[in-house]
Amino acid sequence: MLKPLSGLVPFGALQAFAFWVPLLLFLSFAFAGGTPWADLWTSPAKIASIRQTLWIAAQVTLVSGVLAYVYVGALLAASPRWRAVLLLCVIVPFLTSIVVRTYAWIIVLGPSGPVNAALRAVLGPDGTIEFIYNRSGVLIGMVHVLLPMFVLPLYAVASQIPRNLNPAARTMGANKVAAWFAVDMRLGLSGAAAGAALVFIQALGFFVTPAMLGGVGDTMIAQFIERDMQTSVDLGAAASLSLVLVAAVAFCVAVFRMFYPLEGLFIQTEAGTAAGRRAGKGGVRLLPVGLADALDRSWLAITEKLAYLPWMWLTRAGAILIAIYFLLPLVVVLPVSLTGDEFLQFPPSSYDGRWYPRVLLDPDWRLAIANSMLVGVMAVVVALLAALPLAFVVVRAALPQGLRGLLIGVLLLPAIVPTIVLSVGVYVWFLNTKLVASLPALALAHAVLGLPFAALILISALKDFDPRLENAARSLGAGPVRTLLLVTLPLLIAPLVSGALLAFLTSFDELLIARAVTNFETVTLSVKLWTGANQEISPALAVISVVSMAVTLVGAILLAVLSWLNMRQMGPSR
Amino acid sequence: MTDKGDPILRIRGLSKHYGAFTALSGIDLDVSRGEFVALLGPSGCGKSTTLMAVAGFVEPDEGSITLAGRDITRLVPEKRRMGIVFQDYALFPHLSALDNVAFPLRMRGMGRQEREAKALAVLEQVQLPQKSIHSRPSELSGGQRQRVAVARALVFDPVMLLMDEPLAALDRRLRQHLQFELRHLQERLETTVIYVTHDQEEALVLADRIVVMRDGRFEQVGAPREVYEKPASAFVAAFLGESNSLRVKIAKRSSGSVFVQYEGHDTLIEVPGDFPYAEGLLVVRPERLRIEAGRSESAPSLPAQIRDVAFLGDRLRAELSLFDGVSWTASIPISQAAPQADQLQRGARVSVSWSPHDARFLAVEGN
Repeated sequence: MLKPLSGLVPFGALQAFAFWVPLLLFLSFAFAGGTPWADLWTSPAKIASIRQTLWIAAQVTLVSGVLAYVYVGALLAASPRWRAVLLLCVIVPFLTSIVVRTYAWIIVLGPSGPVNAALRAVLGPDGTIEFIYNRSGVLIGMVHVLLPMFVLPLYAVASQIPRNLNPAARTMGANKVAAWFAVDMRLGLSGAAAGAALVFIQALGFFVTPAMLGGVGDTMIAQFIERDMQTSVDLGAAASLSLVLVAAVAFCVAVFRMFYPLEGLFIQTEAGTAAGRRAGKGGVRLLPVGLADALDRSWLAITEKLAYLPWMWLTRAGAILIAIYFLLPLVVVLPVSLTGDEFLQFPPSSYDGRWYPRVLLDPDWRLAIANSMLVGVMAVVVALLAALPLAFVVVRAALPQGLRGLLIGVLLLPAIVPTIVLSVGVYVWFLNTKLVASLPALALAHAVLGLPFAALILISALKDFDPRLENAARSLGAGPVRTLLLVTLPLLIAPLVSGALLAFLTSFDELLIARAVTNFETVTLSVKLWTGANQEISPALAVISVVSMAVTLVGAILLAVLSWLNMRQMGPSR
Repeated sequence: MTDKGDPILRIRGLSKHYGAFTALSGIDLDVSRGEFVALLGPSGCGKSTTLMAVAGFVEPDEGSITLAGRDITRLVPEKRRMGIVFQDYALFPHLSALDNVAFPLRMRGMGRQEREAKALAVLEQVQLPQKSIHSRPSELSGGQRQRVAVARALVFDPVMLLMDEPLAALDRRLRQHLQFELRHLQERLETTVIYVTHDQEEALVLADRIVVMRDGRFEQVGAPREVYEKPASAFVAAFLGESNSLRVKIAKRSSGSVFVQYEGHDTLIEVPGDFPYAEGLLVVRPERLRIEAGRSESAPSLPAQIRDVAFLGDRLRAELSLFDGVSWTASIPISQAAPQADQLQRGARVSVSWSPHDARFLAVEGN
C-alpha cells in the first residue's frame, strides 16, 4: 500500500505548478527593480481606482443582499414546482459564460435594444436612457453575475431552518416582522455572511463587466492591472496593484474566518448552529439594561406597524421581477441570433438564421470551439485525477482537525484569488517556461480553477459514503484495487460526473488566463467572443452566445438529473 | 366532570378543505376551564388541523372559534395568547434555554431583568436542572428540551395550552414518567389543555376527556373510561386498546337484551342493550375474556383452540383460534393463569367466556 498522504501529491504538484509559482513569481515583481510598490501610491488615478473598486464592490454586495433576501423569501414560500422554476432561473444564468451575459446586456440595454425601444414607445423619441457605459451598466451587469452567489448559499441555509420555528414565535406574541427578524433572519445569517463575502470578494477582482459595460469613470483595479500589462507592459506596476487586490481579498477572507470555517463560503451544512459558534453563553451585554429594553420596545413598535404590509405579495412580485432580470439577457440573445439583418438591431426586421451557417462554417470559429472543448476535457481529466486522491486523504486519513481545515483552505484558494491576478502570473510563468500558446498548459491552469469545486463535491460525497460497503467487498474476497474499481468508484459516479461538469464549465467559460496565454491558433471560444464583443456588436456573437449557452444548458440539465439520481440512489439506505 | 361553568373555548361547525380533501367537516367542541382534552386519532384524521385552527395557523373555511367569549376565528396567532408545545418542540436553536423561555416576554416588551426572573421561575417549576439554563437546545437531552418547551408555552400566562404530540420523540420509559409530571403540573396550575396524540395510552393517562377523530369528524367524545369500555364504533374499539371482534347477526330480541349468533353456529350470545341494526360486530376486550376447560353455562362463551401462549411478565397473552380462522386474543393476569397452567397449553381445546355486560354489539362500518 502507498503511504496515506501520497494522495496529496498530484494535487500539490498541480497547485504548485499552476497556482503558487505563477502567483508568487508575479507578485514578487512588486518589489523588483525600481520601486513599483512605492510608485503605486503616487498615482492618483490608481488610488482612485482602489477606492472606486471597494465602493463598487460594496454597492454590488448591498444590492445583491437585498435582492437575495427577497428571492429566497419567495423561494421558501413557493410550492415545490415553483421553487424548481425559480431555482432554475438562478442556476442557468449562473452557469452561463460571463462574457455571453455581459454581451447580452449590451444588446438588451443598448440604445437600439428592447428596453430602450419600450421606453421610446412609452415616452416618445426622447425616451432613450443610457444604461450602459456608465455606473448603472456596471451595477446591472455585476449584480446579474454575482447575485446567484448570494442567493444559493442563503437559500441552502434558510431552507434548513425548521419550518415550525416561525409559527412558534408567532404563538409567543411576535408579529410577522418581529418573528422574521428574531428567527429566520438570525438563523439565515451564516448563509448571508457566505453570500456577502463571496460577492464582495468576487466583485473586487471583476474585469469583464466593468470593461464592457462601464464608462471612463468606472475603472476598477483589474482593468488597471490589465492596462499595465497590455499597454505599458509594466510588470512591477501590475504586480503592485495585484498585491493590493490580493490583500483586500485576504482581509475579507480573514474576517469571514473569524466567524465561520472557510469552506462555509462554498458549502452550507447546518443552519443556526454555525451562526452561534462564537457567541458566548448567557448572552453578551453591550448596552446598559435600561437602554436595551427601551430599544427593544421601540423596535417592537416599528415591527408592529410594518407587519401590516402585504409581505407575501411584495416578496412574490419582487421575485418575479428578479427572475425576469435573471433571464432577460439570456432570452434576448436567441431572436438576435436568428436575425436576417446584416447588423444588430432589435427587434430584427426579419428572421432567416443566416448567421448560423456563416459562423458555424467559419474555420476561425470552428477552431475556437474545438480548442475550448479540448482544453475543457483535458482540464477535467487533470482536475479529477488530482481531486479524487485528495478527497480520500481529506475524508479517510487520520489527520489532525487543524491540518484538515488548512488543507481545505489551501484547496479553495484558487477559487478565491482574483483570476486577473492569476492570469498575469500564469502568463509570466509560461513565458519563462516556453509554454505560452500550449493548450495542455492552459488546461493545467484551468484544472487548478475547477479543482476546488470538483474536490468539494467528492469530499462531501465521500463523507456520506458508508465504508462498510468496502469492508463487505474486502470480506467477500476483493482486493483493495478491485474494491476501488468495482465498489467505491461506481458508487461515486454521480459526484464524479458532477465534479467533471463543473470543472468543464469553469474551463469553458474562463476568459482571462486563456486570453493571456493563447495566440490566434490556440484561441478559445470565450477569448474570441470577448475580442469580437470589443470590436463590433455583430449578430455573429449572438450565434456564439447561443452555442455557448446550449453547452451550458446541457451541462446544467445533466447536473440536475445527476443530483436527482444521486438522491434516489442514496435515499433508501438512510 | 366536564361541567365547570362556561366553556373557555367553543368551536362551532369548523370545516377545512384542501382541494378535494376534507381535513375537517363541521366539528363542534366545548372545552371547560381547567379541562384536559385529548384529540386522539390516526394520522390525517384532522386532529392537528383542529389544533392549528385553534392556534391561528389554519384559516377555517367555515365555522367559528370563540375564546373566553371572544370570536378569534380570524385573529392573527400572536394575539391569541395560546401557549403551544410543538411537535419536536420548535425551540430556537440560537437561543439558550433561558432566552427561549424569555422570548414570549420579550415580544411583549418586558424588560430583561424582569423577564429573566420570570423565565427562571417557570424553568424551576418544570424542573430543568440549574446547570442547563444557559445551554443551547442542541446541548439538552430530549426530556430537558420537552421541559423547556413546556416552560416557554406557560411563561406568559396563556389562556390555554395546546400540545401537539409533545412526547412522541421520547423513549417509552421517559414518556411514561413525563406523562404523570405533565398531568400534575396541569392540575397544579389549573391550565386548560388541548392535547393532540396518536398514542391511546397517553390519552387515557392524561385526559379528562378524549375526542376520538377520524376523517375530519369526531367519532366519539367522552371520559377515558367511558370511551374505552363503551366504544361507540368498531373504529374506536380497534383504535383505543386491543379488541376482539366477530361478525354476528341478531337471532332473538328480548327486553333489555339481544341474542346474537355467528353464521352457521347455533350458540346464542347475549348482549345487553337494544340495537336498531340486525347485523354487526360483537366486540370484547382481551382482558375481559376467561379461558375455561369445559363449556361455560352461565355466561356467553365460544369454543376455541389455543394457538400460542406468550409470557409477558405480569400476564399471559393467548392467541386463540375460533371457528373459520377467526382469531382472538386473551390477556390473563399471572395470578389467575398460574392455577390454569395445564389448560393454557398450545393446542388445547378450551372455551372462552365473558360477562354479558363486557361485550358490545357495534354497527358494521359503512352501514
